[in-house]
Amino acid sequence: MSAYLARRIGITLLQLLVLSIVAFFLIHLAPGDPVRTMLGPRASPHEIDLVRQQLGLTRALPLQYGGFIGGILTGHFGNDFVYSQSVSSLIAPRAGISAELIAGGLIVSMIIGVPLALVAAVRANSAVDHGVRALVTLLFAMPSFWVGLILALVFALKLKWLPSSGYSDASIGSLIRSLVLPCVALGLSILAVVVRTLRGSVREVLRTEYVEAARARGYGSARVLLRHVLRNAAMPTATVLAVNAGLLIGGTVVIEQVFQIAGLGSLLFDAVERRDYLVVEYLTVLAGSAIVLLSFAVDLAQVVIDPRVSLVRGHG
Amino acid sequence: MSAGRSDTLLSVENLEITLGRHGAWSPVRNVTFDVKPGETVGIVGESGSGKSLSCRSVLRMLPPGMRVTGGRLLFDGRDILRFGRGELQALRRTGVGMVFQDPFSSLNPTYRVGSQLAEVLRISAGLDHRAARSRAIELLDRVEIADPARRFSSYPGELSGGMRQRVMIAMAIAAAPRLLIADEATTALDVTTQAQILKLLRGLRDESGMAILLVSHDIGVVAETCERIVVMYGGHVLEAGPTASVLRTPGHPYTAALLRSIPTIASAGHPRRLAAIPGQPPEPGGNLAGCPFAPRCEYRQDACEHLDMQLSPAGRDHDTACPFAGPGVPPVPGPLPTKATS
Amino acid sequence: MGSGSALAPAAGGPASLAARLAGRARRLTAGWNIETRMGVVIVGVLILISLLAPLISPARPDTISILDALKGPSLAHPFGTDYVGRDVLSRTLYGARIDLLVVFTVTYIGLIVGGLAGMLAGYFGGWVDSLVGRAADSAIAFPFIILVLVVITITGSGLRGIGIGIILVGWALYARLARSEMLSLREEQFMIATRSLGYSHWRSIFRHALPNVIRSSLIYSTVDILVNLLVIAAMSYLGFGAQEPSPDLGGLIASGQPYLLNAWWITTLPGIFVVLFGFGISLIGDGLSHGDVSVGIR
Repeated sequence: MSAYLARRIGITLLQLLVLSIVAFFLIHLAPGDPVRTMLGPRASPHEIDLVRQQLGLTRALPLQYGGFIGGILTGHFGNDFVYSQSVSSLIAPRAGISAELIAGGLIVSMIIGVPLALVAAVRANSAVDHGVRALVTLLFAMPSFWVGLILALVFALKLKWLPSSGYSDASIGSLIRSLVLPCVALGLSILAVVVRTLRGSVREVLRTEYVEAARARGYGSARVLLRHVLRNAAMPTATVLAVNAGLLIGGTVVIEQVFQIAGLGSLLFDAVERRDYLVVEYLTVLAGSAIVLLSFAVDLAQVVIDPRVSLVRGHG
Repeated sequence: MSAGRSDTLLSVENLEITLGRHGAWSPVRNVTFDVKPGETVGIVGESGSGKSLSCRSVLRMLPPGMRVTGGRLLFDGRDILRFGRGELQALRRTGVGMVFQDPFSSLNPTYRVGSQLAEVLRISAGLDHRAARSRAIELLDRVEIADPARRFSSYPGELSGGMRQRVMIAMAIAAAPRLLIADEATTALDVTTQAQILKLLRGLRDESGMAILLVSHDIGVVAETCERIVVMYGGHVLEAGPTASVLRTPGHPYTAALLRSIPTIASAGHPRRLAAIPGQPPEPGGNLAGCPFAPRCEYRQDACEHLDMQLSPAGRDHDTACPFAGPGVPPVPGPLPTKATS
Repeated sequence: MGSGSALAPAAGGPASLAARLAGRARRLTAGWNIETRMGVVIVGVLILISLLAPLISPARPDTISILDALKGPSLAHPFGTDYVGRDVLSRTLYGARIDLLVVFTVTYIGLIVGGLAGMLAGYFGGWVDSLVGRAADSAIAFPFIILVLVVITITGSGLRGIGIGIILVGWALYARLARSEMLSLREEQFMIATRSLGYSHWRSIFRHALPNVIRSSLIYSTVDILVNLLVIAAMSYLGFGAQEPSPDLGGLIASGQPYLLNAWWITTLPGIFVVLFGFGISLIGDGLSHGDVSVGIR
C-alpha cells in the first residue's frame, strides 16, 4: 500500500511542478511588453525599467522561476503595483471568503442533489426519474450568472428577504444571509453533475448481489439505502466531483461578480481586466494546486474507505 | 396469527412465474413440491430449468419484470404471496435464510466481515452491539472458520472462496431460520471445498433441525446431502421423490439420461463413453405445450406434446410427470453417483 | 421500386441527387427516437431564427430611441427595450447569432483537431501516445474558466481569446475519446485483418476507425457545445466577449444588471434563448446515446 501512496504523491508533486512552470511562462507568452501594458501608455521608460527590475524580469529565466517558486512556497508573492501592497495580503482575506462560498455551494448541491439522485435511482425509468433528469438538464442549461441574477431579482430586490450583493461577516446571521443566494446559484450550477453521477452509481450498486442479499435478509429499505448503497456509491461520485472541482472554482469567479463579493474570484477578474500578470499567475497556481491536492485527498479517502483499492495494489 | 400449523413447512403449489406482460414467457410453468420441517430437499436441474426462480419466489425476490402469475406458496400454511410488508420482512429475517452462489458479490466489499454478520444479528435477533459481536464470533467458529476473533475484522477480499461461503452461511443461519435455501451455494467452489461446505450444512441441520432446500445443477451434490430430490426441467417438475429411489430407479427419461451422462470411474472391463443428452435445453421465450423434454427424449411419443405435466405416482414410491415411464424405462447401470461411494 | 411516379428522377441530374439525399436523410433519421426529434426541432428552430436575425427582427439592434427607454414587453417590443431604447429581442437574436456561430466553430475545430490527435495517438502508441495523453490530461484537469481567463489576459478581450481558450481545452476531450475508441478498435479482428491484407497504416485508420470515432465524438459534442456556450456567455457577462454596440448574449444580460429591479426583462429574457438551446441540444445528445446502444461514451 505504501508503494501506491508513494506513487500517488510523486504524481501529485509532478503535476504541481508542471502547473507552476506553465503559469510562470504566462508573462513570457504575452505579446508585447507586459509591463508596459500593465502600467499604461503614459508610463515613462524609466518607470518601466524600474518595474521590470522590481519584478525581477531582468534576471535570467531560471532565477526568475526560482524566485517565483520560492515566493509561492514561502507565501511572499511579491508586490502588486496597482494595489500597492503585497499580493499575499491581497489574497489572504479573500481566500476565506471564497472558501466559504465554495463550501456553501457544495453543501447546497448535496442537500438538493442527493435526495433527488436517490429517488431517481430507486425509481429508475419511472415518471419521477424522467422528471428529475429533465429538471436537472434544464438547470444545467441555465448560465450560472443568469440564475444568480434571477435569484437576486426575486429574493433580494422584489421580496427583500436577502441582500442582493456584498458580503458581511458581522455576525453568523448576516454571514449566512449574504451567502445564501450566491451559494444557491453556485450549487445549482453543479447540481446536474452531482445528480447524474450519483444516480448512475446508485443504480449500479442497487444491481449488485450484496444489495440483493441484504434485501433477502429482510433489511429495511432505509438501512439498505443509507448504509450499504450510499457508501459504495459515494466514492465514484466524489471522484467525479474532484475532477469537476474546476467547475466550482470557475463558477466562483462569475458568481462573485454577480453578487459583488470580494473574494479570490473577483480578484482574478480584476487582475485579468488590468492585465496584471503577476496576480493572474499566482491565482492560477493557487487554483490549480487546490484541484491537484483535492484529487489527491479524494484518492486518499478512497483508500481509507474502500479496502479493495489498497488490496488490489498489492502489499508493499 | 397462527393459521393452521400444518406439518409441511414450505409448500409450493402449481407455481407459475411469468416475464413480461401478457404472458410473454413463463420460465416457471407449473411447479409443485414441498419441504417438511427438518427435511433436506434437493432441486436438480440445468440452468434455465426454473429452479432458482422457484426458490427466489419464496422470498418474493424475483428479478425485475418477473411476477408470480399462478399458484400458491405456503410457509407454515400461510400464503407468502399475500404477505404484507411486515410479514414478508419477518419471513426474510427469521423464517428463511438464503445462501447465494457467488460469495464474493454477496458480501459488501467495503465493510468488514464481522460487522456485516453482526448487522444481521442486530436486525434479526435484536442484539446490541456487544452481544452481536460475541455471537458473531461464535457463529464464525460454528461454521468452522479458523481464528474467528481475528477473522471478524477481515474484509471479504481477504478471505478465500470457501471461507466467504462459510460467512454467508453464518449470516443465513444467524437468526436460526426454520428453512435454509442454498441456491447453487457450492457451484463456485472447488470440489474439496464443496464437500466441506456440504458437510457443514449437514452438521448444522442435524444440530438445529432446520430444513434445507438445496438447489444445484450438479446431481452429485444433491444426491449425497438430500433425503428427497426434485428434478426440474424447462419450468416443470419432472420427477420427485426419495433420493435413493429416484436415483436407483428413475421414473423419467430425463432423470435417467442425466444419470447416464455423469462420468463415473468405470469398473474394470466396463469402460463407457460419456453419454451426453442429445439436443439443447429449451430456448427462453418459447412456451411449448406438453413435456419440455420431449424434443430430446428417446421415448417420445405424439401424446407427449399435449401432456398435462401433472405428477402422479407411476407404480413406484415417488412421483413422475411421465405417464409412459413404465417398465420400459431402464434402470441406471453402474453404481449410484454419490461421492461417498466413489 | 419507385416506378410509376411522375416524379421519378432521371438517371442523372439534380433531381436524382436530391432524391438520393432525401433517401439518405430518411435512413439517417429513421432510427431517431422521440427525444432526438424533439431536440432537433428545438435547436433547429433556434438556429434558424438567430441566423435569420437580420430578416426577422422587429427592429435593428442598435437603433437608439431614448423616448422608448426601459419599456416592458409589448407587442412592438416583445422583449422590451433597454436603457437607450434599443429593442431587446433584436439584440437577443443578433447576440445569439454571434454566439452560435462562435460556439459551433470552436467546438468542431476542437473535435477535428482532438479527434485526429487521439486517433493517431491510439493507433501508433509509443511516445506519440504518451505525449498526446499527457497534454490532454493536463488540459482537462485544469479548471476551464480559469484557463480561458488566462488566455484572455494574454490576448485581450474579445471572442478570439475566448475561442482560443476553449479550443485549448476542448481538443483534449475529443482526443481522449478518439484514443480510447482507437485502442479498442485496434484489437478487433477486422483491424488485424486489414493489416494482414497489407493495407497501409493510413488506410486502416481512416476507413475503418473513422466512422466509429465520428459517431461517438458527435454525440459527445452535444454536451460540449452546451458547456462551451455557457463559458462564452460567462466570459461575455464578465465583459470579455463581444463588445458594444453588438454584444452577444452574455454581454446583453450584463448590460441589464444595473436596471435589474426596474427593467427585469433585459437580463431575464435573453437568457431563455440559452436555456432552450441547451435543453434542446441535451435532448439530442440523450436521444442519440439511448438509441444507439453500440456507442460507448467516454
